[in-house]
Amino acid sequence: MADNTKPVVMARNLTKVFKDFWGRPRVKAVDDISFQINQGEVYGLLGPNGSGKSTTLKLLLGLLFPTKGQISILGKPVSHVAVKQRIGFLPEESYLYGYLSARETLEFYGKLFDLTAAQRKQRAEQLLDIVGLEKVASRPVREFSKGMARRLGLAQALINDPDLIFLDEPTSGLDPIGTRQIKDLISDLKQRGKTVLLCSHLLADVEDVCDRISILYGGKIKVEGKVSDLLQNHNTLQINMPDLKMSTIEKIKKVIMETENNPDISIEHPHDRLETFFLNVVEQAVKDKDETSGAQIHLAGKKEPEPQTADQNTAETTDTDLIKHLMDKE
Amino acid sequence: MKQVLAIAHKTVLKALHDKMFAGITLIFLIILPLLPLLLRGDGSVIGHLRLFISYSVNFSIFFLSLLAIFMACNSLYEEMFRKQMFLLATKPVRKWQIIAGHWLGTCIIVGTLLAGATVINYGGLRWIYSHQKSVLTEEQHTDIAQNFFSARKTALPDNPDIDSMVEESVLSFRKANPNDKTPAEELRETYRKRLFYKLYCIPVNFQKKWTVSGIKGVKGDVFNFRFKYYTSEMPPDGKINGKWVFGEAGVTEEHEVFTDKSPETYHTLTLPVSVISGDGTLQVKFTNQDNDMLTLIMPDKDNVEVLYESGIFVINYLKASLLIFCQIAALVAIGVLFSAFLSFPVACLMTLFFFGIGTMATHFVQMLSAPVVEEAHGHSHGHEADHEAVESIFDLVARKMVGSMIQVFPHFDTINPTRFLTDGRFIDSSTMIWGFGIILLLQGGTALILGTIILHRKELAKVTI
Repeated sequence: MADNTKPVVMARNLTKVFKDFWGRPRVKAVDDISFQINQGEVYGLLGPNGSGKSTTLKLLLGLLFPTKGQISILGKPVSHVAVKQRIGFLPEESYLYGYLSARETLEFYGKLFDLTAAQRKQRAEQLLDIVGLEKVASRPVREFSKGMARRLGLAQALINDPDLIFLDEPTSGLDPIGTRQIKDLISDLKQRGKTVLLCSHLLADVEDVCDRISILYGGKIKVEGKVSDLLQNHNTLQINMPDLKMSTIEKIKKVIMETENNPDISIEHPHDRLETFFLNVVEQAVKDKDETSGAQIHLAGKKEPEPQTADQNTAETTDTDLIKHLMDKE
Repeated sequence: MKQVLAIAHKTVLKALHDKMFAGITLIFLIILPLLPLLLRGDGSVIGHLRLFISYSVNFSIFFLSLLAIFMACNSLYEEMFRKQMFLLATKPVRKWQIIAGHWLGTCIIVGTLLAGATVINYGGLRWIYSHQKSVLTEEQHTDIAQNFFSARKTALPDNPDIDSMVEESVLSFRKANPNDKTPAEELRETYRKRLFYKLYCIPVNFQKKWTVSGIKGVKGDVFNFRFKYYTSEMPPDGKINGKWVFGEAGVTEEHEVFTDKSPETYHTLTLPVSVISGDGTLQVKFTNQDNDMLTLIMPDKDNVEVLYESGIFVINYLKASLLIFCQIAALVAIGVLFSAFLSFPVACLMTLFFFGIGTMATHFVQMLSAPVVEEAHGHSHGHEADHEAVESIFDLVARKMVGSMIQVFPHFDTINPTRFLTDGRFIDSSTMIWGFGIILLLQGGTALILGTIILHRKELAKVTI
């Protein structure tokens, strides 16, 4: 079980000043920020462009050196190789090698983690399956669409079964299905006790998966807290219940008007989110077996059944099952 | 090590997928086999072989060095430029492993091409020889076997220490003439000229002797004696008559040879090994018997040498390839070092600069260490003299500084194998140690260590405003 009080990431008074060619300080990208991410948390870094969230992420990853302040990742300095053994990173753009195929890419990163040939092969195949790239595993990455490259980027971030995963704009370039899959995957990782630091300005994504968030502006943390606490609106009330007769609705309205003397009441059927509606349409298309040359779709954590072969133990597994299987092999 | 090999493997794959690399390699592999057909030499087979080996080896060195520089500078730089380094640096890979991986991968690629070039060049040599074998006389066959397809060691005559001899003479003069005011440098110059005349000039009917020692491990029954002499003016018939006596009566056999060879050209005599004593010493006497009464000048340095078979040509040829590899691997290390902190074109330029200086380093060092001729000595007065003195100090300091800087550059010319291969000379262990130990391990290794330090201190995602 995840120990939610154990800090995995600690940043204290973190400051980063970018300088010009002559070494004169020009831009304070991060200004004295402090935060802590505990084990098993999904933590979101939000902010408009230029707010310092990417710089913070790069500082945490050791790609930039702080001008001031301290960083501890998994209890050690970020430059420590033992730290890198336990982290995964999906950058804003995938930064993959165009001349390698998807399988070769995962093979390459697997070697960097000192995995055995058998482990590399097994993990590569499982991750390709999870991200829906198993059918295009031999194609060079330069032929991939941005979404496919993102999927492969995510697969490489998970090749070492990391305890801490840094995701920079993980859903950027992905279609709604891919976005949903990534969000499901993040939820799965959280359930497995993994810590995730998510950096995004797609607020819906962050809202769906993050436990806690901080909002940056001008290099400073403006707000930090639990998503549920921060988003709770204490001035409005919402009652959810099955559909009612029109006469009952009118009665309720009347009672409220008489007792509260407030004309600002609206009672209506709730709207589906567009994402849910879209996913329903695609799910129907998958069921109808419509052809696609893109990434393979495993909707709502479900994989389309394939013909069984003699050495296949399971023909239908969920993403969670696959990740668990992958990790259990460790 | 797995990380280094993984990065090296990736670097190799990158090169294999690079169309520009494929094109350049194709051009190289087309030109190289055509060289035996394109080059002709002086008409003799040995001349053809020498010209071919000289051109093909130098072409391979030049081409592969440029390719190595290009690849080495591009490999690491592109990884940073395309931000692929962001991913690599967040994996459990140490900075030295990144540097070493790029170096190794580039070396594997260029080394493989060098191996191919070695085979093609050797094939070219054999083709030239076998193609014209049928028209060669027995003497020409022997000449080629002894002077080209061989690995001959060199022994030089024991050189007198002229500087010490000059100093001794100057001291003796001072003791004998305590009141003499002649400047020391003037005295030195006078004694140097006298000694030169005494040691190296051979008037008609005079004899000069040499002792060549350290001739060990001679293979076969014969060896070569190579010489060159000068005259103050060209003889009318273009030839100088002389008598050579090799060996020492009572110790070894004596062998007499009468020659009428032209001055200012190298000549080679083939002699029996029986004239060499058991301890590896050869006594040589030369008597000037010129009909035109010309005095000969034969400075020891580079003008008299004994060449004797001591190895196999193929082994020597492979050693030559290893030396070329040492140069290329060192260049790759320098390229990787510069690409750790410079952009691709600047890193290329800097590495090319090292390549250029290294290729002519010995020449530059000699040029800078040559004494300055002061013709107007003693003719300047007052400020003019002071100005000249200051100039002289600046000149001296500048020469010393530049000379010292050039010493830091890898001296690629000292390991250029062409001079060994064209004359069938044995590549000795000191040259191999220089190539492998000094140029590759010390200088190349230093470049890699510096590259690692720079990469370690570098902010990979740095933004300069």
